[in-house]
Amino acid sequence: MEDGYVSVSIETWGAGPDSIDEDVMGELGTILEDLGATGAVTGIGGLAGGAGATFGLELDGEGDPDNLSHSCGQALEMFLTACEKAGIPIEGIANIEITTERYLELDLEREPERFAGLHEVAEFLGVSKQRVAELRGRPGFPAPVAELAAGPVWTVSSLSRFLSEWPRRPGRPRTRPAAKAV
Amino acid sequence: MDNKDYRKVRNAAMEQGWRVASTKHGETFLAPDGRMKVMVHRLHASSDPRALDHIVRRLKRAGFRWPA
Repeated sequence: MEDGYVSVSIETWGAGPDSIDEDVMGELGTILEDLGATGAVTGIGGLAGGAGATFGLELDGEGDPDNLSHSCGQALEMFLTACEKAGIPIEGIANIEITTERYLELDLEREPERFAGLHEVAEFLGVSKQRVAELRGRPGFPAPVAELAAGPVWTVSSLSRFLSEWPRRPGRPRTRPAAKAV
Repeated sequence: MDNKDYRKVRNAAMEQGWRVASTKHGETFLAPDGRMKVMVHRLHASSDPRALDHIVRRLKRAGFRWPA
């Protein structure tokens, strides 16, 4: 198996973005690089509130489960050593992600979610806004992700799914014949 | 993503409300809600062609939208 590369992201528990000096966090990145990490970026705060880092690690055999497990251990050890040398207290590991190079590429190329209001939904489906209001009552029509004062908001991905499954019939719906007068 | 695109990422982050400040090691990105800081190291870009990807991944954790 060929040599590979993984991207590692580690988050720790902590007290928020101002709990560690920025220069100390900068030093953490430098120490990580000295220990063999590549392209190290550090951060603090976020969901877990503590220090974190994202960096590259070379390994033998990309995608090999044994190697990924090994690289996870190696990355964690590297990170903890760097924190200790930088004088950063660790209250506990909150999250570790090991990402192969191929997955990293796919993840970064993925378009962010797009949003649509009533006007855009009508254009997207090729109907009037009144028709959208009718369609909202139909089973399978996606629920909006938010109801703002300006109106409902949908994700475009949920509308795409509806559009692909919508048994659309062209033309006006047939009206019932009027009852004959007696 | 090419590390040469750093300026594009930086500009997109600022347009999305991130504040960028110079530090001893490089630059710090402060999230729009103030709950996360990302430290970008000036010298580390040369050690890994994926360095910019790492920056983007970390920024995305606090809501950065990319491709912008």
